[in-house]
Amino acid sequence: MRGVASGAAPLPAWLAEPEPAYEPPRDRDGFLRRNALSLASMLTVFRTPACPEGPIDRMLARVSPVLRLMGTIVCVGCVSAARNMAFVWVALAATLVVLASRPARRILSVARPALVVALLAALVNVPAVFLGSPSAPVRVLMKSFVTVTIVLGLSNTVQTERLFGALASLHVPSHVVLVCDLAIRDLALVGQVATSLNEALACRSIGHAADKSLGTAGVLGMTFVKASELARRQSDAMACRGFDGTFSVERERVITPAGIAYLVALACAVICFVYLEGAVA
Amino acid sequence: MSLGTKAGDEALVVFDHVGFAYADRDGATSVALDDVSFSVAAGECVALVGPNGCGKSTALRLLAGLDEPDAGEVRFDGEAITAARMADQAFAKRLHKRVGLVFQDPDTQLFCPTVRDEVAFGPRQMGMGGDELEGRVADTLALFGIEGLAHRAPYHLSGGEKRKVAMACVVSCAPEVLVCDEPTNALDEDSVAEVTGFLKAFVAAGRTVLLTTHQADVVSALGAREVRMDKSHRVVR
Amino acid sequence: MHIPDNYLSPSTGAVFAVAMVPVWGHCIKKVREDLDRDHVAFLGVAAAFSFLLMMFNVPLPGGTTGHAVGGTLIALLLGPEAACIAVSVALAIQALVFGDGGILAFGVNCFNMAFVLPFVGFALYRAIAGKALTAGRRRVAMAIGSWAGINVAALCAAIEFGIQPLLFHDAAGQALYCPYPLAVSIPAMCIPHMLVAGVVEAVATVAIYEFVSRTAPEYIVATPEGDSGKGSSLVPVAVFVGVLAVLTPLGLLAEGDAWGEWGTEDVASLVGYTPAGMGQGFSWEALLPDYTFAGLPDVAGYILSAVVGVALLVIVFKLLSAAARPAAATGAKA
Repeated sequence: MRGVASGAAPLPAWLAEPEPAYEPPRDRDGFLRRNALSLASMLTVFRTPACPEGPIDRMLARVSPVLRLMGTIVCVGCVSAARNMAFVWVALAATLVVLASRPARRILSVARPALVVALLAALVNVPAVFLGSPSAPVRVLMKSFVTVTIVLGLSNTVQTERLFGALASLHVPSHVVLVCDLAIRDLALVGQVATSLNEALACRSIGHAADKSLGTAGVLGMTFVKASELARRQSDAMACRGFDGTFSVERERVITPAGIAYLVALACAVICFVYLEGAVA
Repeated sequence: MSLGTKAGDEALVVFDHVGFAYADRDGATSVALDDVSFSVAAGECVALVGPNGCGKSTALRLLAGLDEPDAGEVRFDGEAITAARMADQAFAKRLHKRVGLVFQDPDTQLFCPTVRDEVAFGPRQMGMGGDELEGRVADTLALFGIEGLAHRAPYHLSGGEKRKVAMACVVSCAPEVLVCDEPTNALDEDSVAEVTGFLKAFVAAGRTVLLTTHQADVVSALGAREVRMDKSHRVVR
Repeated sequence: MHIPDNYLSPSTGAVFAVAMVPVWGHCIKKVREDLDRDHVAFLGVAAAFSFLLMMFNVPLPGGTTGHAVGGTLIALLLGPEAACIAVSVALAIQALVFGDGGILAFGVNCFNMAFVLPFVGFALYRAIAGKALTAGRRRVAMAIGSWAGINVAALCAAIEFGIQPLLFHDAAGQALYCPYPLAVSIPAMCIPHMLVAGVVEAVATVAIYEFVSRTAPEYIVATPEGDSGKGSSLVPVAVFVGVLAVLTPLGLLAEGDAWGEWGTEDVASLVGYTPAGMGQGFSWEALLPDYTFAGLPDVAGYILSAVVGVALLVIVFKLLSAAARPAAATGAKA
């Protein structure tokens, strides 16, 4: 650039004169780039903060995440352990009601993976039909859908900081909580970087790439480099702000009116499970 | 019209009542552009100026076909840039050849192992090889005074060096329109002078520049026509 | 009025399914033009009303049962095209999940309850209400329109039943599908609907419409009571839907099957033989047949079925609303 600014060297001919119309050589690199882009953009899901957006989720948000975690584990356990379908149907009805109370985007973010998992599980169980258990695929499908929806519902509606804080309340070491918290943040940043790099690659892919993997490999490689750089800079920033290895996690009150109501509802669910398992043995 | 020929009377770049909003959560959107209209004629240097967050970078993304307007139309050489048209690879490649976008953050633009590879990436895709490719790369490196960085890894460079490399790797494709997002950010005085000197020469050669900046001295140094946007995401008349 | 499988020939079902395709196409196009995101999502709530009304069986003269449909209600709220889509989706969920209404007869059921019912009901409402400014006259028009809509739909169903023995019989003259001719099917379907089910439909339509117009007027687009400028909450509507769901077991009190919804053994005992098409016909194993859950008492099963059905409808239309345009001015009022 010294050349142009100082006037010593003009623009080269290929830049100073107009070019004939450009017809790009044919190429088929769309598949690789689209898949690299979609892989990278999957990481951007971490950018979408978990947020209670439906009326039921907003009520549940008043409950301590510790209780929510425990409740989720208990509900998933009951649904999985149910030997007859009565309790599973009750759980399905409750799950669908909570799902229906959410905005469309939250419904999709939970229902889509839950359906995929459920259908895969049902598919795996199809041989059971020929082995004398014709209802096995349906049972597995229902149970998978309900349990995955419950778990995803928790992760989609409770902020990660609160969830990790709940882990600390369960005596998980605080440095584990810190690592998890930082990892989520960094994954979101890395996803952003990868998406931007893929866009830059798309903008500069103007013809035929003899080595199709070069650009995509470069993007993935740079993403890794950026991730390492982010981690190093974050460590330096934390040291500059006095981090000495100890990390205290803010703990929420567990026993609140909302928490008590939640425990009562959970107890009712367990009683329902025990009753239906016994009544329909 | 297929991005292969010059248009008749219409300006080269036209933003026609363009609106765009980023989708946050369900139903919630954050407006970036609101009924924005302006044009850039061939051979012009236009500076989009305005405060942070007024939508300048978004306008450049729409011109590069990275997003599609929610309302209105962005046209290049008389042809609307839409998601449907961008799905046509040939169209997308012609657009990206003619419209070279230099990102605001050079870190997200550089993905090759060396500076030389970065500069050679585009011309190689265009089918250049051998002496022609070497010549193109050498010319571009000399143009930006970064011959000494040719075999360095881009991510090891300083911020200013990365910015020059980012611009070089777009210029090596000889775009008709150079679209730069804050090209002088974080550059020292000498580097700013170098960048503005190059852009002036680029325009003097009959090519077009559209840049965003919030530095008034850069606009006056370039002699650019100002298109001012404000916090309401509109063009101020 | 849900026609089960094997009461009509597969060819009858196919003809009506094909006939419904352009109807659905037109309705989908019109809904996309007229309704924005919020209204498409509300369509799920409207569909839920229809689903719940169809669970409230009422005893009809002759020992059978019937039910309201709510198609005209949805037409009055959001337009007849929206009503067609909503009732079609509700019928699909009923057929697939609860075995209420046949799979092969889906096209016929949609023709009767999703197309004829709301379009006739809404057209009659407009003809009677005209440019009436008084709420009273509009209510009368709604009542008459909804009464007429369900009765014309019942007449269509009766004709579809009644022509089966004429068109499809074996060499011995025995019907292959529905064994009752027009002379039996028309009075059997129409008279109870005129006397009871139609009245229930009219009362439910006016009552629910009034409720929605008072609590959520911005969600009404097809009639003058709608007020897009007035912000309103869907909480009262949601509570109302919840109350209706809990009260659905009242529909169990009405004993007996609806006309034309008997099981194969019942048909055999009524006419002395099992029509061949019924005995060897298509059979669909629904997840929750007749709104019952295996292992749960009928009342609990009915309520849970109502909850599942309503939730599924709300979810489906909320997902569809994501593809609709953002909230803006909606279609012209009646």
